[in-house]
Amino acid sequence: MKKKSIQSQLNIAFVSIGVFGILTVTAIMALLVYNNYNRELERKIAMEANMISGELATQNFFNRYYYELEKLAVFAEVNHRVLIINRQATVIYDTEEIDRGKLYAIPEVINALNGKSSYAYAQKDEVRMVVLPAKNLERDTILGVVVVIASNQEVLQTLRMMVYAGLGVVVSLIFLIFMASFWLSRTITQPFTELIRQMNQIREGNFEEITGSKGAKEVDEIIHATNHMIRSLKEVEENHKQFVANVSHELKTPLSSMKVLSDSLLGQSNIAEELYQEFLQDISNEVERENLIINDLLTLSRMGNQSTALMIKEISINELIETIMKRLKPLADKKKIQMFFESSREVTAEIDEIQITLAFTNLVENAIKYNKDGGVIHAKLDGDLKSFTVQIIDTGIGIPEEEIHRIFDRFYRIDKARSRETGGTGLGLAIARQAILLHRGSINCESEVGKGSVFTVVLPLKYRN
Amino acid sequence: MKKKIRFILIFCLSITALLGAFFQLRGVARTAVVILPDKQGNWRQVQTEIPLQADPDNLAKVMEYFAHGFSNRNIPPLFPEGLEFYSISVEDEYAVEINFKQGYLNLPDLQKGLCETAMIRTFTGFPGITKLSLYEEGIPLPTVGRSSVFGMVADDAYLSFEESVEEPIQTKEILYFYHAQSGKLVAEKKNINWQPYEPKGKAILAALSHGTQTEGLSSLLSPVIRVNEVRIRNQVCYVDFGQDLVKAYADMGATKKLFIYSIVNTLADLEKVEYVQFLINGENPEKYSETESMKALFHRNHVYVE
Repeated sequence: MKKKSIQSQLNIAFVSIGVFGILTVTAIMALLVYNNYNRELERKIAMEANMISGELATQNFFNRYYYELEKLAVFAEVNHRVLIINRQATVIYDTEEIDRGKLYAIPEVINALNGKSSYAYAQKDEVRMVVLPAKNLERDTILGVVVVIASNQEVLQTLRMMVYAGLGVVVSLIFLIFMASFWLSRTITQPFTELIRQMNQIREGNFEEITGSKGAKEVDEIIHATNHMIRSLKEVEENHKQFVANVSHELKTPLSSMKVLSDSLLGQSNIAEELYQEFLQDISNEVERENLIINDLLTLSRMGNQSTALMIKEISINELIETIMKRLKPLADKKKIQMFFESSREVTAEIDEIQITLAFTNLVENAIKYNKDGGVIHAKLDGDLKSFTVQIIDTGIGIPEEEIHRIFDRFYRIDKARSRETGGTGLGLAIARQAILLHRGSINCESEVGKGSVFTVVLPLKYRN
Repeated sequence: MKKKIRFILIFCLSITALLGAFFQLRGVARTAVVILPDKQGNWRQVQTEIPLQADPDNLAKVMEYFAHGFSNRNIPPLFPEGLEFYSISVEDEYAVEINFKQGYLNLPDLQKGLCETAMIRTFTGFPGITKLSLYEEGIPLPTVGRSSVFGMVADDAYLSFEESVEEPIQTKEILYFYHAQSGKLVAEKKNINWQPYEPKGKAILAALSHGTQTEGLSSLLSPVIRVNEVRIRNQVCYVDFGQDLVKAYADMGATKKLFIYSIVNTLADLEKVEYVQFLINGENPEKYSETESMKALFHRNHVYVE
């Protein structure tokens, strides 16, 4: 189904409200007039009936002969049709000469002959009737019944005119209502139209922030959120460019070394075998280095690919860390670094063993690489009901405070030369961070130059998808 | 789908209503309906097993119901205990005659009224019966100003307020139209329909303004001229017109007198009317120079009548 625009929906709403509003007001006014008129009519005929009832008593009406009745002054002031009914429910006088002599034993007359007054209403012709008992002077004996009948056809004509007038107003104002609704809807939707135009420019690749017009608060909020998104996109774009540049550079460096070494070999004749071996060893080292960089990039790429599923299993973290430290002990022994593992409890958690092993391995490797000879590495494990914490504490060279926030960036190295000597690719901490984030955990670093660093990793015990 | 459901629903309701009406008609057509007041004074129509044939036996059975009521429906007896009748018969195939024993006239007035209403409306439900005559000890009971000296007809009794006002009254009245050829007024009898709660005079003037089918005759009272009210008091008929009369009268030229007497002669035929007074929005026409000649009280005048 084709969607309507906001403007057309607003147009429909405004026109409907305008038309409905006028008709509703007209109907309410008509109803009020109708009710008021009916009340007034009933009051008048009730008063007439009471006046007649009094006159009948004073004039001794029910004991007179018929031909005398017309001369009575009682009917001089009457504006409506009057029936006088005797105790036999028979009409003995009718101002319109229609029902004289007829039996009028309707329920209202029977009630009146039993002493009750009542009102009746014939809906078809909008006719109203008041029925009163006619009593004697002492008001203790019912002699008959007074009936006064009136029609309110006149008010119905007035009401019809009111309704027609209301409809006329609607018809004559319909053009104005349309114009007003069109203007109003246009004013309301104009900021959105401008917003759409600017957002279309973003779609075409122009990442300029949106400038807001003087619109509604909601529009400003949309603009604010969109601009935030644009800034994020710009940052991602920049990071992407930076990454590509870094990768290119890192991959080119070993290749350049290999080129130099191989060119040297090719450019010289009668090279001594020891020199030949040395050059080939260097080439092999550069190939190995290139391989490491490519492997790390692939690992990072796989981690960043959300379609790659984690293999979650319940793993003993104590055993995992012990295994890592045992595997890296030979490396630590070369620098006479002592490694200690402390755990206050047995911790098992739902993790991808390979990813987390990679993360912790990188942290411990860095703790060895950047440690002083004869230094110490402490690995601490603690847990509570919801998460566990691993701290890798070293007595290494430390990280300057201004560089701490960049150490998890890809290819970022504080000391390039040193890292090249130790065989680093600059991707270790980025890989560790990505693995931890995939498990909805966190990693941060505190460090002091010359004293060492503390890497703190917090991971949930239960994996949440 | 919704339309289909709605259609089926309406169709079923219509069939049910038709069947209901059919069975009801069947019931009414075959057996008598007795009409009685209940304790609250409301008229109830009760279907009985009495065949709808006006013979003395069936009529006597109806009288039994009047005497005993319908206890299972909380409808009390209409006749007091001890009220008896000698005979009930059908005369000339259209009139029911009931001869009560002594005691009917001594009934309370209201009870007499209720008895007569119940009897006339019940018995005129039998096919062919249009009249009811009552006797006590063979003497006809007095009627009060009815059209029939002896007896009542169905129209002589109302059971509800709606009944008394829903049927229009039809009378034959003399209206005076203008004959262009002779330049005078011509009297014509016409059937007038009017509602019992509205003044007869207003209905007559409405009929006058509608004109006539008779060739050569036309009405001088244009429908454009609004008649506000017609009221009769002390032999004077007051006719209140709307403002439109002023201009219309000024444009009448030579037919002004004829216009006046077309209305005066028509209304003067009403009972208790001797004079006619014209008013415009409640005021005497002398207020306007164009209608000053209408200010007098006019009496019937046949000078202008052919």
